[in-house]
Amino acid sequence: MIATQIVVVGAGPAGLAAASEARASGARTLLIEERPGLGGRAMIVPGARGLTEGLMRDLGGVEVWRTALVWGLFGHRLAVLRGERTETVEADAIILATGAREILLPFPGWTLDGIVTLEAGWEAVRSGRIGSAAGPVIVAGGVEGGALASRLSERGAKVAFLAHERPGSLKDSVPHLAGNLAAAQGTGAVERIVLVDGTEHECRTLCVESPRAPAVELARQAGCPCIYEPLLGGFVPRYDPTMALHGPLPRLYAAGDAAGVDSPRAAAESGRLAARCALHELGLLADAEQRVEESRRRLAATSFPLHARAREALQAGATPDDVFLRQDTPPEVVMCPCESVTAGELRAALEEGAATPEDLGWWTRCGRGPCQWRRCGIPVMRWLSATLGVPIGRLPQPRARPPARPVPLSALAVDDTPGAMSSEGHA
Amino acid sequence: MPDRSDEYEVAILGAGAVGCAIAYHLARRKITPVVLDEGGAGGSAATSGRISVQADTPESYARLCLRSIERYPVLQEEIGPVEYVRSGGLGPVFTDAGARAGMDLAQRQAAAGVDMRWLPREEVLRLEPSLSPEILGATFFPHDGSVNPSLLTQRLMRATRQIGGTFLLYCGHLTVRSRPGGFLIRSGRGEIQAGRVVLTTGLDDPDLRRQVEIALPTHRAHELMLITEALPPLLRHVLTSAHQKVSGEMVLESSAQDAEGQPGEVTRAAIQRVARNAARLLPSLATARVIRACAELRTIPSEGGLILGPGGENIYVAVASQEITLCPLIGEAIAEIITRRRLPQDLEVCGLDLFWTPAGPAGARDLRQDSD
Repeated sequence: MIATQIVVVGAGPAGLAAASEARASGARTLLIEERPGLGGRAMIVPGARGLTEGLMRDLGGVEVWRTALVWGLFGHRLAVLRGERTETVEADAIILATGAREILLPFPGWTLDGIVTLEAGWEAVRSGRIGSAAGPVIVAGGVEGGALASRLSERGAKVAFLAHERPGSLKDSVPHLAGNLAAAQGTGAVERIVLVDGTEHECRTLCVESPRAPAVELARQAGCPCIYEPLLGGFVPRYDPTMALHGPLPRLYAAGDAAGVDSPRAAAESGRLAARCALHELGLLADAEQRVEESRRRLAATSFPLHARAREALQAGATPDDVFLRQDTPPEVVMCPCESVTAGELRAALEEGAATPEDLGWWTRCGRGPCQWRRCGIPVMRWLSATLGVPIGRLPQPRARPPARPVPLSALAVDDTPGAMSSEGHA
Repeated sequence: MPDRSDEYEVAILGAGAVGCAIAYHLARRKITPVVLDEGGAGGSAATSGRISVQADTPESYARLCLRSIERYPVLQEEIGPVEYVRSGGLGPVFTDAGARAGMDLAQRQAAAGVDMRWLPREEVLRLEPSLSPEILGATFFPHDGSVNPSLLTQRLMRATRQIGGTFLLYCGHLTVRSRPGGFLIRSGRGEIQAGRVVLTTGLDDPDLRRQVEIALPTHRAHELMLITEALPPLLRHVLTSAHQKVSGEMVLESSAQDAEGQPGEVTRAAIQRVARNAARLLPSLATARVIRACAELRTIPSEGGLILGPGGENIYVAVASQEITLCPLIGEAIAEIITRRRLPQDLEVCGLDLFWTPAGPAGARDLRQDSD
């Protein structure tokens, strides 16, 4: 068992800023990142790299664990998978800066190999997996998709861009397919896409720009309530003006995209705000009121205006959850890729009395596979909302249970008895 | 005045496997049941599907388990496949004391006519090569096996609906009031009337306990299961604390009940205990990835075993710690008690002391005398 004052989960702009802020006030600080590298999505998708690298330089004195996965939150104790074993970390305050995930929304053929998110597309560019040797690539999306298509074209890939309109971010040399995606087809992997107007286009990789949803599993494991706010990316945990999450656990904070998708600079500022509020709560911050207020102003100034308003409304306790979604999913479309459950099977379960995502899981095994709703949860909730005609925010969410990711049994079994506390770390 | 469609002969509280089995057997006997549940169907989320003869309890209870297990193949014929597998069950032990207790148990059960054996280490490892070589032996129960508990409950629901049963789910808080000729049950979905009431929820709701004036010797116990990703075939038998589902997922259960934590809360210590136990039992599982931990607070008989029978005038109770093992038996027994005021013949000869009424243990003979 390792004891520390502040633990920050996730090392994107928000987590980096929170950790360096906490350390600057002298708090013992541990920053935990799931990936091998720091910076999160900001180091993969262009736009905030400079900001993020700057934040990384300020980490002096922060203990950093990379390739470390927080799989469980048990009160103020975190179960962290490092290599083969689980370390238990006890912290006075926890800041969840776990970011947001791009969620592919189901369409016919979306589970074929070669159909990826924009982030995965950028990752493939970076690692050289998509280049001149790859087959034709189609990017479907908006402004960010345009930037990816342009970069792919520079790398010599045969790429086309699919959207209603040509975005400004798209280089003139990239062909534009005007239309809407109807389906992807292929045997095992994508071979072509079909547009709504019936035209077909060959492709080996399809990058689909998709909405990003806050990663809230750990907050939900801790019993924090979420509300649905489309401006902030969907289900966001409720938090107060100090970024402290509602729910049973005190001194648990959210920051960055995990608290609502916003600009990378706003993410960093919300990380600072959360850290300052946590420090204040722990009695470790000088000129606390003033510095918290300063952070709050900077967060408002760097946010997208509508997002700032949405966040303030959420903090004030508003319940903007009466969102009705329309989603017309053909019955043969797979909704849960792990267990191959189709929309038609979900509908049959509704007819037998299912009313919630957990019920759908019980009837059809939807969400019961390795992803444990992380991939299919949002699409299924949207489908359920549209099908039942119930606002998505009024539906019960699927349960979030540990482990937050699949974890080897041996790592769960490790003899790290919470009762046997040592006061200082042995990392 | 509620219209006639809101009147049922029997109302069953609880849409888990037990409630659905009772409804199914009543509907087959042309009694129209309604099953009500405060939430959705399926009961406990941490139901493992293991079917086992509980042999370290009175021999009569082991016989009851056997009688129930014998009903599974027939039930499966009637309602459709529920992934019932009679694989045989093993209870591996690691200590000399455990081995002595196992051999002792085998002797006692053999004397009582229950087919159960003690197998030495080599034989166990031949049956299950993936078990730890550190085991000293295992108890062997040829009748044990497993079923898919969700599929079982779903098929019972479907079959019941087809023959006239009704399910009212998401009723919210239920209140039961006795009235001349039966009961009035209020719920978030309106009022219904029923001539008889069957309680399968273990009466953990104090309001309900007061309304029906029944106290049962039950308590709430935490149960935890870890589920792994689907694995290639690893285990042929069900073990006391682990079995492999038809889907390939491994179900790992807590061997000891765990009193800590809030309802449904999964504690780190409990996960650790289950994981450590499983890794010791099946060393090759160490690298298997666990995808889910389910915890549930279930109401079970304090003395273990089964509480079944009339709990008052026109009220019947059924609470079991091994609900999946026993639900075919419970369904049939309650249906027979209600329709013919007696137990199925093969159950009369065993477990007489397990039937419980407010006045204390009562046998099937007492039930028959009631009807005379």
